[in-house]
Amino acid sequence: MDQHTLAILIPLLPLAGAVLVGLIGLPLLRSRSHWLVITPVAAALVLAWKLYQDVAATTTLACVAGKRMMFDSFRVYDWLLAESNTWLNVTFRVDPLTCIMLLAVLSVSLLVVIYSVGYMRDHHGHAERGYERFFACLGIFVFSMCTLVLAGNFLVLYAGWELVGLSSYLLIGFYYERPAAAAAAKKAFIVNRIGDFGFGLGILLIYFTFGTLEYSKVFQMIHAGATVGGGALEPARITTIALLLFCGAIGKSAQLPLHVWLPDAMEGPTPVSALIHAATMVTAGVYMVARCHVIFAASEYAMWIVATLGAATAFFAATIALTQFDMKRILAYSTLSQLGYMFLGLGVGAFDSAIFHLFTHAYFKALLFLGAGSVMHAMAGTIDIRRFGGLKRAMPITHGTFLIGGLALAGFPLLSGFWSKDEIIHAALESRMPWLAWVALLTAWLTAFYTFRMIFLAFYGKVKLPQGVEHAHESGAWMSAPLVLLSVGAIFAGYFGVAFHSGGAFGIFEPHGKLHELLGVLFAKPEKAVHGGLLGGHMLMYVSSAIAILGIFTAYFFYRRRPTIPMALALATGPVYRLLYNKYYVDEIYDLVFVRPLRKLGEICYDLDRYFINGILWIITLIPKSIGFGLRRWQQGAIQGYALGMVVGLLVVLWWMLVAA
Amino acid sequence: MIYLADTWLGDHILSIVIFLPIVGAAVLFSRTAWQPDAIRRFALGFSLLTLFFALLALVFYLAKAHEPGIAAGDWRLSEKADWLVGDAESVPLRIQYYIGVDGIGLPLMLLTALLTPLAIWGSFSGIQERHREYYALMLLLHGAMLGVFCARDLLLFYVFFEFTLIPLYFLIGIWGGSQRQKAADMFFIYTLSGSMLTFAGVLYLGWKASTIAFGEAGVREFTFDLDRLYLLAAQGHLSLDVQWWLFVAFFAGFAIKVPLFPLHTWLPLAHTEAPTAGSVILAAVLLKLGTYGFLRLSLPMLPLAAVELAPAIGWLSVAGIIYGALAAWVQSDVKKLVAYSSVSHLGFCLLGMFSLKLAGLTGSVLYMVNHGLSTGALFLIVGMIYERYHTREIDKLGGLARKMPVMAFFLVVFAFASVGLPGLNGFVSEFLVLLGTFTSSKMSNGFSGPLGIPFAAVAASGILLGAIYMLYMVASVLFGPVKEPEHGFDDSTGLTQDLTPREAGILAPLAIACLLLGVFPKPVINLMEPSLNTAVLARFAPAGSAMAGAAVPDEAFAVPTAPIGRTSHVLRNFGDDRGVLPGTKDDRLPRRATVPVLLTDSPAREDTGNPEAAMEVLR
Amino acid sequence: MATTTALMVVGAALFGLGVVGFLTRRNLIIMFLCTEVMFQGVLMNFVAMGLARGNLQGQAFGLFVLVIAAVEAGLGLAIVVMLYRRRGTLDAESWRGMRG
Repeated sequence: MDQHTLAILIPLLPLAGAVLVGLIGLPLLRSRSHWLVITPVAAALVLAWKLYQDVAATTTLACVAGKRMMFDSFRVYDWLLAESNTWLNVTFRVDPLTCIMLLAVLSVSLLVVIYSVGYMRDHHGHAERGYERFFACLGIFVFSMCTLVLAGNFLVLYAGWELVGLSSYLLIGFYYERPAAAAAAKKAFIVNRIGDFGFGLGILLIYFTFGTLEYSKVFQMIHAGATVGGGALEPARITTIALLLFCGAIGKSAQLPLHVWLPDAMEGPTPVSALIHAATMVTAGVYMVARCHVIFAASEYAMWIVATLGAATAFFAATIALTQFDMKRILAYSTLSQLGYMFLGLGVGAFDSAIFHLFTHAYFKALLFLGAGSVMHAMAGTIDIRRFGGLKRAMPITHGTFLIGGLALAGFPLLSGFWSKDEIIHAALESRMPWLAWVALLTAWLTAFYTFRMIFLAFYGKVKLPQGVEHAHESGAWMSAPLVLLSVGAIFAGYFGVAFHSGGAFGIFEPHGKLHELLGVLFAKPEKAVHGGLLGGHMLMYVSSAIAILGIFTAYFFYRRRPTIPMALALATGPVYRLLYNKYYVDEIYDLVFVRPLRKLGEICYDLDRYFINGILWIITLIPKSIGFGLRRWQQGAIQGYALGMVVGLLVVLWWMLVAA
Repeated sequence: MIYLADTWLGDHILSIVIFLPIVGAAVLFSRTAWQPDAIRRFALGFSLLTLFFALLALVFYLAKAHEPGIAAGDWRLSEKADWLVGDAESVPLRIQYYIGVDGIGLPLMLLTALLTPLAIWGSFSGIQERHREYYALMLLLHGAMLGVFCARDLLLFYVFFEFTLIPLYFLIGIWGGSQRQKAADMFFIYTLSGSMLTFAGVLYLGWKASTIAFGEAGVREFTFDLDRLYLLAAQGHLSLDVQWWLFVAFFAGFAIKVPLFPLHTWLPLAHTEAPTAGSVILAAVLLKLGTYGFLRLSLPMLPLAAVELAPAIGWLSVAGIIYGALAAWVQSDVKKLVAYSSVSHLGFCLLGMFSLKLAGLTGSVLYMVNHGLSTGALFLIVGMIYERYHTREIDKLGGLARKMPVMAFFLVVFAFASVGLPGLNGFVSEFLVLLGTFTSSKMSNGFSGPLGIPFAAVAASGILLGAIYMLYMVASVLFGPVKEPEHGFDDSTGLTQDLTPREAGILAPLAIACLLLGVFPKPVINLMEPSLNTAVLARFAPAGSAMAGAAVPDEAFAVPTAPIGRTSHVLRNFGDDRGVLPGTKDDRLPRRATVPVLLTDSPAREDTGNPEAAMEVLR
Repeated sequence: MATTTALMVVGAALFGLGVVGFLTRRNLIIMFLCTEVMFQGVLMNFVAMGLARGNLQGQAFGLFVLVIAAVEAGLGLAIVVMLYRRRGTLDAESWRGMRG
């Protein structure tokens, strides 16, 4: 199969699976419907691997030759007509970035789908209500995400973008009978739409400026500084485009100030949180910015915004995570924070590092969420870390894998998160905004702290179980197998981005591996980014390792050695603590500033309709009405009255004919 | 089947489509003894038969594409016969029964033909009294609507256009809700008073055509033949001032029908009070009569005024988009919410149309079709809920997804189609409309449109607001804990808790159509693109451009060689819309000329007694 | 007085009588008869004019109107009977449904 066929089949397989669930899973297979999704996703993963190898082979050749490669998209079919003879097509584009994303998305998807088979059942192994619906939605999600990633132009990107939003909506609202879930689903879609408003306008502006939506053509024109009309490309225009596109990324990747939907999205089933709201969909914003790196890199101002906003979100979300007690919410805020890192990386021009972090984050964050899901399953739905503890003994696999995930998230040396996060910090340090790196380092400490706060509270100490749960139990094979596989990913995914290297202070690794090599042909870094400069040699590696370990130790000290400290600290910093605990009151502020006034405006509109516009109409109708009222007195209803009128009329006519004329 | 296109059937297929339902209505009116079941079956059968012939018309239409002399954007399947024709000497009047379809009318005709049977089918359980009259009126309405989309004579158009009011007035007034009488009156008077002004414009155009000699024979007659009326402006017989007033006259009728903000207040009431099928037809087809009127008449006949007034209409549309969406959000009645969403959606439709770009126009026509499908379906679903619970209050309903999963599936599909989710039809039209509006001010084919980025930027907020009110409705009705009115669900008419197979069968074709038009709209776009170019865009292209040539065909009002009033009929080749005598091309005038120019080489010029000419001199 | 004038005077008188009768009486039947009288007055004029012009058209038309009047009288009386059945009285005042 050639690349084109592969690229078309990869999204279509999961879609076919989803459709089949609707057609034969729902009426026939019922609780065995998962096979209709597992099989195509696995097949798609195999195809994606084949595609990756194909692309890697050609790319490596180019890389060896030291050339940048141009990747053209290919047409799947015509979709919309923009002008005479100009169709906006459905086009796909296959390049290293696509392949890496596909591998990450499909591998995590496969594991999460497998995990769901165990998770979406009760303790007796009976499928939950809506089991088939769940898998159909997952299939649609995988299809949409692959479309998004494979898109060859902005229109298809937007389509995939919206479709993942749909899957997210359907899956957050999976337990639709819970008002919180229904509200969260609605919130997620609408908040995303706020970002999409900008994103859509950005796409329209791209078409306006360049007369095309194809990536390659747009990028070429930007390189040439040309526009479709023949005029020069103004910097302000490109900045506007970049910022509008970034609006979409802010919404989808839940950055400040549109982050509010993601924590609420945890109302969905845990596998959904793992797959969509941690590993894949929320990283679409990062992918998009990396994909449009030509646009962003052309605008310094936009890059500055991306970096600053990323760092701000990273720090902001980490502070909230410190005070939360819901495991999934802690992880959600940590996702926000890690996405902030990625945007920081993008903003300082380290596009490949951001994608690297996206790649590693997909594994360890999915692992953490699935681990939390495993705990939740065992605790009969309880997820509040104040209500259970000491699960280490009862749930060894969950504990072990969760610990690996936590270490990776905290940036413990040699695990995947360490490599990728380090690269971003390093890039920030070397950029024109080095202070962002200090924010990032501080956030790294917070990250290690809140991660291990959660781990210590949940898995260590005295065994404590919520009411109604007699004994904790380890999850079954359907659930633990993906955990183990993902923990392998959490450990080793980093080595996709590092290479063996002889010499150097720290030893044998060099942060420039296969991944960078592949992405290099796209992002065209001038030279290899080898650690060096400011702190000298591999100094930063040691510093960040130390920070991670310090964070873990702080958590150990607070929650294992002196468990009274957190409470005392919370009391001592009362207002600050409350501010953090209530997530800076952002939801409340939005409600007050946007939702209520808008709703009020709607009411005013409706009142305007009923009273003002209809009032004017009523006044207009008064004219004929009052004439009628004036004339009705002449209508006596008696036959002779009318006859008299006729006679009078006759006489008047006679008088006029005989006398007046 | 294609060879049938050249037979008698092919020549009269459109008349069959239009009059089949009307014949059905007549038969139904006279069958006083029939049982409800027979009446239902008969009405459904007749509307399905109409659908069949409409599809046959599509086949013929496509088959005719290969005939010599037929250009891609031309009218096809035309029929022409004299209807009211006066003596050429004393009463130079020619009103024709002149019908045909092109790529603009055909999709809308098919939409009508598809939705009416579904609306009739959907009435089976909802209508429990006066069956005969109800279904007869539905069929009558069906025929009238089909007629509008086929008319090629302005007076015929107007007759069909107005005739739709009568059946709908009774449908709302007899089978409507508690305020039905008020709603019917308001609907009728509102739309009628607007179209009175339109009628004045129609008469003026007919009179204007009679002052100018036409064709080689130099016929001067009172005519409403659209082919000729288009040429009035194209050849500079209508000054900007005159066009402006005519545009306002047409606007009065069409904008109320659309409805354009702030002339929309009849719509929520009419929608809420109408029986389900009435709302469906009203939203899906009747509103489109207004937009179709703009597209078919106002734009091509009055291009100068259209460009002049487009920004104003653009802002009104944008205001309607936001206003309608916000007002929809605060409704407590599901049906009213959907009704207000129509105000918002139709704003998009007009916005795209007045962008005067191919993308915008394509999007606009697609929007007409798509809005018909998705909003029609939403009204059907609301009706299905109402038949079960006898309430439409959002506060009294909740969690219905649990009780009615099939209904929930369809509601979510159509809600997302309406919100503009890619992959469903709404997105296609919304995106094209925004694209057209956004790029309107750019030069293409030597013409830059009247709208631009500000319009699109504000209108795009509609995609956000649309999501807000639609998802609010979906979440309140479908999700959350189950909440039903105290009396529970009513099974007295044989309904089950979830949708019956009949109801699912009504919604399924609509859902499939939504999906197909969303994923692969190319066939439909291909169908209408050439017609939009020929019928609309070419009239805006500057003189001398390749496109402008297409706009002015050879049968121009031209130098007459025969004395005025000669009784020869220029157009005697009935059924062939191209069989006209050629005139000279020299008197083509620049399309955008603002100074009225009378023909320089024709005796018409000497007609200084012409009050119109005097009026124009005075200006 | 010429014949024509005399006939027309009679016609006018009949018509005037009918009008006065119609306006002053309340009984439906009498009112109806008054309209018949007016009718005959007009008819008289037809005949007179036909005489004056010296052709038979006036006569022919007169006969024609007579026949119509007979038909119409039947119809009118039938209506009066129906009205009587509805109200039980022949008083024209009992029918004032159109009062504004």
